[in-house]
Amino acid sequence: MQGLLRWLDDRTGCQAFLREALYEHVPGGSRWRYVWGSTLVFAFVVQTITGLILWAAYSPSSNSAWESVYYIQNEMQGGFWLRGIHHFMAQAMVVLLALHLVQVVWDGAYKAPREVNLWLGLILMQIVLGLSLTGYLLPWDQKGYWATRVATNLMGLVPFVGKSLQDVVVGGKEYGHHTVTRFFALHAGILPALLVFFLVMHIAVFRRHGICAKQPIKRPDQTFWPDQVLKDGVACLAVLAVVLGLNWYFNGADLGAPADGAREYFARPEWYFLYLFQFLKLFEGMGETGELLGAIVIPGAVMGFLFLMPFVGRVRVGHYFNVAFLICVLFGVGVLTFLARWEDQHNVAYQNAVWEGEQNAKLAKKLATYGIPPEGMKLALRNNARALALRTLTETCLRCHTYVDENGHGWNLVETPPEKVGDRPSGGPSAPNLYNFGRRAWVEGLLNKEKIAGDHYFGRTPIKNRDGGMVKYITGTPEDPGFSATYKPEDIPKIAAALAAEGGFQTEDKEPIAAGRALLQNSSGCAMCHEFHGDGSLIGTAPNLTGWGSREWIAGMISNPSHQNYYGHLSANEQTMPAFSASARSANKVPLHPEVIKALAEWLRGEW
Amino acid sequence: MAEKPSSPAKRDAPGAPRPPDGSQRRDFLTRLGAIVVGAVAGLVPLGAAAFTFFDPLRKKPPEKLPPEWIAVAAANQVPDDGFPRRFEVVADLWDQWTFIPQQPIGAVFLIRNKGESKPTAFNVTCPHLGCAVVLAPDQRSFKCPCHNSAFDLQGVTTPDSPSPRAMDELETRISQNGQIEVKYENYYAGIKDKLAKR
Repeated sequence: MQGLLRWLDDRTGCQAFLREALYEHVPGGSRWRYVWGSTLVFAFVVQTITGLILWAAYSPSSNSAWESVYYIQNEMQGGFWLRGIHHFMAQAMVVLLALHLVQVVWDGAYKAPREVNLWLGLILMQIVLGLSLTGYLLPWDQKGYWATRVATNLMGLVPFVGKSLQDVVVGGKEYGHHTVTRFFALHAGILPALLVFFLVMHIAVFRRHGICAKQPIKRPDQTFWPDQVLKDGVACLAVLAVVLGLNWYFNGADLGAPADGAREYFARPEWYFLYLFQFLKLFEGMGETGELLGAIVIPGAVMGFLFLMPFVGRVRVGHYFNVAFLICVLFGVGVLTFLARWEDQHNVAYQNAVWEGEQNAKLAKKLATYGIPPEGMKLALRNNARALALRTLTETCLRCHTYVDENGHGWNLVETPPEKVGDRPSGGPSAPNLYNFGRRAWVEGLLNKEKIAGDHYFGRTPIKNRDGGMVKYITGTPEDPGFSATYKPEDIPKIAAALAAEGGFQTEDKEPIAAGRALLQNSSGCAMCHEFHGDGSLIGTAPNLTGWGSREWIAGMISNPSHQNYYGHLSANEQTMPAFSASARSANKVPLHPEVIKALAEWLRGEW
Repeated sequence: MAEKPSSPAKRDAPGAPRPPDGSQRRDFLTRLGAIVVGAVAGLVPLGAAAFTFFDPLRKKPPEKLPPEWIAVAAANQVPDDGFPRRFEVVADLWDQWTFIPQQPIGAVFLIRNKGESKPTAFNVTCPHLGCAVVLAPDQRSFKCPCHNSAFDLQGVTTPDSPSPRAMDELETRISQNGQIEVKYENYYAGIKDKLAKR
């Protein structure tokens, strides 16, 4: 064995190389603050390994990129973790870059003779950010697609060559196959090759000057092996643990609905670019100059200053200026990121769009389980009744209705008073919350004195004030003779159970359902107005509760709310919901296909 | 170990070739030759690669011909109430080698004010950075969800808007069979001038 090693060493010099690598001199001994560079190398190695295997399953084209990523994520064994590691390690890498830079500047490790190494490091930083930017597009989902449209349009602002640069990167004027192939070539080929090239130089120059030891040196010198290697190893393991933890916590890397240029989406960059996104908003009213300043000149100047730090560091308080500058920049980045997040969290329209995006993504993944046609998921989605139903839901139903769960998550219309603009009510909910419609909880809320006149039920509808109407009936007092609720509060759950059973929900508790049915048929209670499995004599005085909340009932309601079975008894002014079926829709409105109406009813019932 | 392996030190031993001193004409020609041959060998593949890579700067793909009139809605779908309505633009789409007949390629807002015979059309793409503009919650202005660019219903930027120009208006006409037709085009975002992507 010894002989074999010596033979190999004679011909390759491997022992000397290993000695050179491992017995690097570390003045003052190993320290935790020296680990950042090693963690970055580790992160890059992890990205290379996971990236190559992702490559082995990825198909770069506009009708197969999303599809192949869906397959990696949901169908391939371990794909969830492989893509998760790649996705979250990319984010960890950006954080580690920032830490490495802070440590280098803080310790003055950029000063002579290490200027060139700072520059190499800053170039590496640009390459890593380029990898992030290109990687964001590759799943070809709505998020990546729209963010890339913004990023490439920013590229177009570069003076003189901007337009050409944009066309070359996009692969033409429009976004498509060649945008994916070019971004993929950059992400998996050109940029990693550049990164390796500069990384080799970065490490070579680093070794030439040795570690920039923390002064004053108090402890004895050590070599890289084994003390510093142990510390580096622990740090790398910690990074890996965080990455795995993030993938578990976020339930895997995100995959939105497939990219579609004809379906708008609220573009947001990855979180570590949010500060640039927010920065651009500051230049309102300044036109082209503002954009140029916000997107290119000022970020370019800040980056340019980082390159000049070694020279600034030469003057007397220069080093302190550099440290202060970097801290200010990072603080500004933090504040802008926070502001971007804060603004979005208080932007109801944005929250609605996020919810819509989630619904579309869910639907796309659900449909994908049945097999994706060769033309890709985007086209399959466009002509799908369920996708059309979702679009109708957000563009039409939720113009008046809300869809908000107990935690306030869902579609919340903007809180402005309802009034008419053109033929539609202006923003603000004017119709009941559709969440849980047909279920017990919905009925229990309806029959609650405090809730029925509230925003989630009839509070903003014209029937709130109808004489002899449901709201008056529920909120009425015994002093209102002959017209106030005759049931007791403990009856409410029974009525709710019976009504939920009509729609096929909650069928197991037989006893309250039977009691509830009796209450619904009580002619001095519900059956004063509502038909419920009776002789049909009450049809046309109030909505028919027979089969209430079933798919057919809801589809009928959407088709024609003015039908005798629903709200035909209301006056024309009180009938605010339009009809959507071909037979009932007014002539200049496009009706909904029966399949779409059926899909809407199924969605509301939570059937898909 | 029968044979003593060569060591790097041996290169500097007496008798090893030395770098030429450059005084002779033959040396000059050799160096020139090495540079020229090396450069040709290197630049030919590099040039071939660059030539193909920059293909998007030269190519005029079929979809980039001057736009044709595309019907987007029936005239009675846009009453003269000054309210903007959004319609998808459906046309044949080329994506490099893929041909997709009659697919949405974009969208427009159509607005017809009182007394006007044909509507005004705006491309929904934000002239700031290319997101899609939506109708603001108050429904009296357009708003871009990305960087808060805002436009009034005439498409003009409001003072607090980062967009460098107004929304891109498109030509419209009413066809003989009562369809609203639009000359649909996309424009470069981010600049003051309305420059068509063609």
